[in-house]
Amino acid sequence: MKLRLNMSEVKRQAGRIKINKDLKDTKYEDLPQFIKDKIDKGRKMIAIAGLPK
Amino acid sequence: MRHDQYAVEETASLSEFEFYSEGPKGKFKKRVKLVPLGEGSLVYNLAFGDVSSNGEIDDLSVTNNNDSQKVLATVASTAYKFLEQHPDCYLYATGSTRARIRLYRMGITNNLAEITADFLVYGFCGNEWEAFERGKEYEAFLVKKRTFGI
Repeated sequence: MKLRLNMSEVKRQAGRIKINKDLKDTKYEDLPQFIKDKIDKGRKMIAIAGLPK
Repeated sequence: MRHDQYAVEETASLSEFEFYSEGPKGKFKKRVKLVPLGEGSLVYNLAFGDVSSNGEIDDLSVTNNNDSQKVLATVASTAYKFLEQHPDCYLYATGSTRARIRLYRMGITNNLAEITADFLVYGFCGNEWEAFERGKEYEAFLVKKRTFGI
């Protein structure tokens, strides 16, 4: 009996692995500057106002 | 949600999503990335934009692919998925330009009843977070899953 691969599922999993690798390898220092900027801005807003009650 | 959405590819932790915008200008890969504001923080920044040729998100690109509502609904669906799995977390979002902040505010306003049925929505205004109100200008938004009894 031949093993039949579901190519769309293989591609889907491959895409998922690639994304996971990207995520795993990303540290704050390596994030794009605009994400760092937003994170810093968000931190500032939380520091000023805290979280809403 | 009642709006059309694109199919998304997601990571197991639901902290990164990708999809393709399809329209008259072609096919564009989009990415949503959710990054905690600090180690152990319950607040996650929602970053979104086109995936550029170097593989990074470009949040200033303008696609003009006549599908902004579908793209916005897709991004909102990723936020839903994330908050469903992380009910204690807040999502922090702001636009890269004033126009985009306004676009997000309109997106929330136009779907406020539907969103607030499941989520608490706040806007940052005058150095404090307040419950989101129609017609007010906010610098940023916070969204949290509504927990039973609140």
